[in-house]
Amino acid sequence: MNVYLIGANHTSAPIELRERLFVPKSALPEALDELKRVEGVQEGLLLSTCNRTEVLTRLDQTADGEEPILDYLSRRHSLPVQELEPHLYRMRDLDAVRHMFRVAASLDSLVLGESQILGQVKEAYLASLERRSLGRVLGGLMRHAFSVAKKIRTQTGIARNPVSISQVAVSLAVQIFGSLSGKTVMLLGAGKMGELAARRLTEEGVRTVIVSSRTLERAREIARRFGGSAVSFDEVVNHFEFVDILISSTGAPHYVLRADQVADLMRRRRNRPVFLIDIAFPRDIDPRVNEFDNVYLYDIDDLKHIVDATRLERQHEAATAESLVEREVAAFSNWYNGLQVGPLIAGMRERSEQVKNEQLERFLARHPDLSARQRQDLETLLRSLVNKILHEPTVRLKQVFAQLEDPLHIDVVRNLFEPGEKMPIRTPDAGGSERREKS
Amino acid sequence: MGLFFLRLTLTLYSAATLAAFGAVLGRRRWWDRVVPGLIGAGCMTHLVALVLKGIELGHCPLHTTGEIVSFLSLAGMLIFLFGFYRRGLQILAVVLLPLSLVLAVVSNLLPAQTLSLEGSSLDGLLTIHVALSTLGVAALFVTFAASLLYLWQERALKQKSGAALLRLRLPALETCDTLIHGTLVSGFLLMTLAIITGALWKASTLSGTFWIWERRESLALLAWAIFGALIVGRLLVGWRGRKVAYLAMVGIVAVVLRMLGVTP
Repeated sequence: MNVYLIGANHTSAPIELRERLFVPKSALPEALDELKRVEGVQEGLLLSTCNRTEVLTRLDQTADGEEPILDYLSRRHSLPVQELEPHLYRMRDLDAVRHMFRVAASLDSLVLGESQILGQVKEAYLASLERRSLGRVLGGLMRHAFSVAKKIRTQTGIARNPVSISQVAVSLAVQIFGSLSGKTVMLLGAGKMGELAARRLTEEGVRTVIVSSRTLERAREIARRFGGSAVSFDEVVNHFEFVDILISSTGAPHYVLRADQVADLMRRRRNRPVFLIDIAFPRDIDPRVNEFDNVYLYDIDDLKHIVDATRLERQHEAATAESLVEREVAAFSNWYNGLQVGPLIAGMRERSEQVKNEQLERFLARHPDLSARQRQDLETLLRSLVNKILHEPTVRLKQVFAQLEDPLHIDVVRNLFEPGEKMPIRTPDAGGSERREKS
Repeated sequence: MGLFFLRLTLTLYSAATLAAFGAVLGRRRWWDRVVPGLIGAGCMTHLVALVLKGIELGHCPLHTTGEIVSFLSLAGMLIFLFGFYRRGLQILAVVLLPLSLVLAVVSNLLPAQTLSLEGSSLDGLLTIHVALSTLGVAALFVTFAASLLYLWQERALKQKSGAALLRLRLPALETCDTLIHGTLVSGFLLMTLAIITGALWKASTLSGTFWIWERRESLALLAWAIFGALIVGRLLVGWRGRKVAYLAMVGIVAVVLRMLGVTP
């Protein structure tokens, strides 16, 4: 197959090295062009994210190992090979295929089942298409990877659940309110996590954001980022009534929202449900309010528990996903073998045609007295004879190739049917990767 | 022949209910074809059974309690299909399908006793009364289903068992709430009209009284009062949530008991 993959990810390489290997989107076309120029490279694809950089290539039959690719990485990122090598993994043929499938399906991600990676892989694919660095084999491999990723996302539960605290907050808000469009969220206190949650909520359609912080100035600064409004701490109570989701993360040593305040609030809201997220420590909201009807209070521990629980579930689902990947790798292998049978059959037919024509000419030279009609009959006879004889092996070859797994067997079949020069059959330990490429 | 189709219907409904539970519990691909297919087939055979019955009787098969209950079970299935295709509310299956199945079974067990007293032929007013009550009860079934889902979702949110929640994909609380309110209002209005037409019919056929106090009628009145109070309470002071869901379910149970002729 001659497919090689060299890469570094979050488990193999420290962040410093990953940073140096990173190829920004703007530099991708040029990096691909350079990769194409590397000796022996037939097809190539570059995938670079903050967690990984992977170089997927298919080399021609003259290539001897993936060293040129290693040199390419070393040269391009100005890193000596000795420094680079211990942090890289190298894979070949079906192992490389399996790796790409796993990456696209987010089975190799830092956060199992996260959804960003598939988009990044698609971007890498499109960039390679644009630079015309993909051919039949890698193009087919990538398209297969997308369908595997899609299958895994829909058939297993790996991507069903939120993976971070802010995502859990959003999911819970959706469970309560359904659609978040037109809802109002209040951000009480400045904090990274609170801001992140608020941002996710606005992405989901929350319209109004009210921010309050210890100083009005700080509140204004944050509010500007969300296109929201800022209010002072003293005024906050007057706005509660209109707030559907409250994210509280103040540094106050006492409760910012007492139970009696919430009870009063619910009367004024005419019991419309409210979602309170308390990510402060010590807590900002009296935990007793969770017992009130239509009040849903989650503190940081509650959210963390949900993240942990979904993580366990994702790990469980990953096992199913892995077996699906195995099946798909086998399917890809069949597809690839099928790719090679076409040229083989064409060659076989061409050779037969040639033999037939030679024999016919020789015969006609010896019998010049044949009538035109007789010549024609003779030629028809020979042609149908050749076709009849070739029909069976053609059908069989297609079947056989689809099922062959061992490269050694492929060589044997090829030597049986391929016209012209015989090539030596490799011993299994020499590896199938040195096989002649026919596609 | 009608009996054959009825039995086939019961088999299909049972299979559909089982398949829907399987789908909820993880066989998510069954939603694509299996569940809607089984329900669709069940509704067809049910319709055929009803038509055959109608031909046999020579009139619309809505005269006995059993016939009305049978019709309601068909309505329950159709409501589910509507919710499924138009609103994506697969989870309604958990409540509506077993409910419809039970109704379909019950309808076969009930004695074939006609509603009309002294065997008088059904006049227009009574037909309208029966139609209104049937539609009202169908709307209340959805209220019942939505209430159960609301309570389920609410409980999970309060207990913070979020992971299990996210897996089941119940409809959002506010979706359930809207559904409860909407169907409760339509059920209440239909029921009110049904009570009025019922009273008018009694006045026209019997001794000119609008209301004969029977103990079993108290169930209908109780339900009507609960629904009315829930609707007014929501408008005036914003009653909603858990307690509303519980009360609505109590009212609906009363309606169904009344319909089946239970005397308190």
